[in-house]
Amino acid sequence: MEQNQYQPNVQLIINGNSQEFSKLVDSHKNLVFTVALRMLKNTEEAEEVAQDTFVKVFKSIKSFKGDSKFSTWIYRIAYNSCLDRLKKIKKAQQIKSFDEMSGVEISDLSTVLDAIEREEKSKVLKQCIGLLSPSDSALLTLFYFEEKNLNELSKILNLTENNVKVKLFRARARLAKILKERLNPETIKNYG
Amino acid sequence: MDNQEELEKLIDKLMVSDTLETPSLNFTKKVLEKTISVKSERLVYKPLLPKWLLLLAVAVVVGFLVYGINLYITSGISNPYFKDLNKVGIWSSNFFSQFSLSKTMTYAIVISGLMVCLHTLVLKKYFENRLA
Repeated sequence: MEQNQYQPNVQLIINGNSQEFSKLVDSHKNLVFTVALRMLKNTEEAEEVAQDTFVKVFKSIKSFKGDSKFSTWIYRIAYNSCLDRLKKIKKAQQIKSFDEMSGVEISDLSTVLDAIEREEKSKVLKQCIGLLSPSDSALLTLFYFEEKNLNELSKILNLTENNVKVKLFRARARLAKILKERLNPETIKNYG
Repeated sequence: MDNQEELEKLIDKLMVSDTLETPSLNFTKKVLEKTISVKSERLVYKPLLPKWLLLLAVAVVVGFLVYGINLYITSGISNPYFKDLNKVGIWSSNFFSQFSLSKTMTYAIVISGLMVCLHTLVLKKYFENRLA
């Protein structure tokens, strides 16, 4: 899992240093694009929203107060831009209701996933995240790529930490259920 | 609770194999191009009055000046145009002589004027910084 530690020199960017700004874009573009893609489920739209996110960052960098991490601020802009785009295209995803999984089911799924090759696991995971609602997929992506920091995540999503915890639990449960449904029954039979 | 912990462990383990998606190769270039257009948008100076209106105002002033000079040359100060102009001058001096301001009031007006000038300078600097 890749993680971002780059801290840009905000003053240089304000002064118009495009090299510093391009470093900033390069260091955050993958996560911004991933969040956008997982929320919007469309490559072109995700790319456009990700670009707009950085343009917004550039335009309003002077208003960055520094009360959160710079990356948190960027991801918040990205998340809100995606929500705006979703409203615009009215691509309301139908969220399936999932029953809770039993401990035995989770343990079976864990055994199966252990046996699957890393590359294939990543592919399956991407497909399953793609089936989650925009907010669930953004939540999981940001949580696991942002050092599992609930405080920063609550700032990005504009929720309380407790609310984030509840939503995370529900998102994990939905992902596990989708995984179980998506995995080839043969695979489960062979490895489970 | 155990169920919740197991689920958390499972997803934690699974998400380790998650990788980030990569946007198109020229993503950064495109963003920079967009920001350049934002910069040039910022630098565009928009005058408060359009050029044609300024030209019209200058033309009107010049027209009145030429008209006045012509009248003065042809008929001198006795012309009704200058007489009326003189009347306006007399009226205004009479009008303002009715007012008498106390020293405090005069100082207050002068200080307010200075503050307005200062404020204008500060605002000018602020907007220049925003345009830069």
